[in-house]
Amino acid sequence: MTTPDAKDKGVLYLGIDLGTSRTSVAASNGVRETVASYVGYAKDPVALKKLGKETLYGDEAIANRLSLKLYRPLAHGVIQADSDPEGNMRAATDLIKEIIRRARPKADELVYAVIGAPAQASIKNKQAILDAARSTVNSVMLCSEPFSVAYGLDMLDDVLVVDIGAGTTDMCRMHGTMPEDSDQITNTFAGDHVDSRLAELIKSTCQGADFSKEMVKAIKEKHASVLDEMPRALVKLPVMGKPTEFDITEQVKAACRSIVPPIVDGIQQLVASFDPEFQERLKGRVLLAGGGSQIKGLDHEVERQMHERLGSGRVIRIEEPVYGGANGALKLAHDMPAEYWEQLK
Amino acid sequence: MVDYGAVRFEGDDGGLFGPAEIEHFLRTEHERARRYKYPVVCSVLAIDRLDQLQDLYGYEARETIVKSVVRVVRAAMRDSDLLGRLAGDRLLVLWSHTNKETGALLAKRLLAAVKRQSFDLDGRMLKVTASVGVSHNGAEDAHSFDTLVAVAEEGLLVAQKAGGDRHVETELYRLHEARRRGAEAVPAPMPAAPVASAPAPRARPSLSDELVERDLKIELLERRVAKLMAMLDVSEEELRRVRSARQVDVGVPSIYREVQGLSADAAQHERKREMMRSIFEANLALRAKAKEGDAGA
Repeated sequence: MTTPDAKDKGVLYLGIDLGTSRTSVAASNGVRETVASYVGYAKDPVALKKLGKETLYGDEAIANRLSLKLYRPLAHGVIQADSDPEGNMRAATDLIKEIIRRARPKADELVYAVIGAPAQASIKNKQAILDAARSTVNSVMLCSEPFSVAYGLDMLDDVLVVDIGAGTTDMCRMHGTMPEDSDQITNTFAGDHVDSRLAELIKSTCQGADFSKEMVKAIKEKHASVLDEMPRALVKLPVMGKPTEFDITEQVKAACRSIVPPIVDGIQQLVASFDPEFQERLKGRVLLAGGGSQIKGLDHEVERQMHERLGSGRVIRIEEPVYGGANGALKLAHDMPAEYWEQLK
Repeated sequence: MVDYGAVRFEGDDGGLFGPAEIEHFLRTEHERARRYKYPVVCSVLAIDRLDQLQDLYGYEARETIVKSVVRVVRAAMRDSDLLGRLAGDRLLVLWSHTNKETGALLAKRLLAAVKRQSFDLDGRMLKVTASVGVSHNGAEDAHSFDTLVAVAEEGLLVAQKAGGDRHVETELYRLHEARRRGAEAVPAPMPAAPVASAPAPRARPSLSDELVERDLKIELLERRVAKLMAMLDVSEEELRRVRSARQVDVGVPSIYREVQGLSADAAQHERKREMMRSIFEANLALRAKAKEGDAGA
């Protein structure tokens, strides 16, 4: 039998939340890091000389994107395969390497990682994530993202986790056993959907305003709210090169609210197909997680619509939306018996 | 005699002893300790770079920091210990019935407690560190409380010169005791210039000459220490630069086993074990399918 001390000796456990927008890691040495899921490679020798390094990550990559071939290697929570699959695979591998480097493993440590993947990712997608990670870690496992959130909070019974990422919203009901496919729903009404909806609304209402995807994302991150009485969202956007102020409060609210009905649809579907005896309990334990859960008032709005459509509901926002998935994955990694890690090496 | 400088009464921030009081109490306590043969430890604490902080944030900020540190020190003291505020906002504590080892431990605790404090100055959260000089009456030459304070002050100086956030005990009790006696002794008259051409036997140097010579030696040694410290700083900086240039990271040792882990008495242990097995089997199946795919290709 492996003693706990022997199990832990020289092993660094990692929980990784590989997200479309942000990739986060929580490590057993106490390190927690998050990086925007962007990887950029210097376009040419001039760019390389200016930047001083070939590969940039996260916000640094976004800031220098004009000098870079920029990749956002994940779409809908999985590695993009539609355009430039090789480039995206390389970028995903480098992103995983980078996030593991930021966890600061010691040179002589074994690295065991659990990576959260979208609940309904295909086998091919899961395989691609494993391939990207395998070159950097000694042993790696995948688990469903919403499950890892629930596991991290020790809420394994009659809980419905709604993990709102950038690419996907994963919903998963927990009932004391490993969730099966029928316990999980994934849709694409998530952060990126809010961005594109907001871009459409700004374009149609702010005459002549010029903006990029990154600008819209920044506006959303600053003002996102579904509250009736939300603070005014005043932004300056260039019109023919001149910064011009626009009030886009209603546009932000409408864009953010656009993800609520699909979320409540998913919740309704999972509740309705659950054991009728426990449906009330499940409705009373809905957890909001992921970066998208930071939209102000979202918990109350989902709760309000649940009351309208399901008669009752109680929604709780988890304390650490950015690290919820990574924390849970780390807990899983550490709780996993050593022999399982050995077999998957 | 110890120079207390402009020691102030601190009536409104917790009643620190003033100059005459603290000197009286210290002498009395030291004498009592000598007579009844119990150990005492003397600590002189100063907040690192306090003058620079005052330049940046003003006098009120300085007072806020000092008062907060006084509270920290007070919290670590027993009722029988004595606290005074010396010139330059240094704090002097006499710990009764405390030996050398406990004194070092107390100094460490004080430094850690000061470090835990944070101050909101002009919207910026600021943390401060302190330095402590320590002395004790168990040393062979710690005959007077002046010596005790002088050794503690010297320790403080060395700690500050070494970068602060540390405690130092210099153990130079004999030197300070000699200095104190030399200062008390009447200076010897200057000897007449030698007139004989033949080399005269070298006269025994007077006590004041010895002291001057020792002072010079000390100054020289202090300069060398300062120079070595500066060289050490430069070397450490260079090492950091090389590490970052070569992207060498020594890493952080894992601490997790001390704070978490699935043990047999963990909540829902059996159920979690079952879940672990399910995740493992799903990953095993995934790998098998990948291998099949590779073989097919």
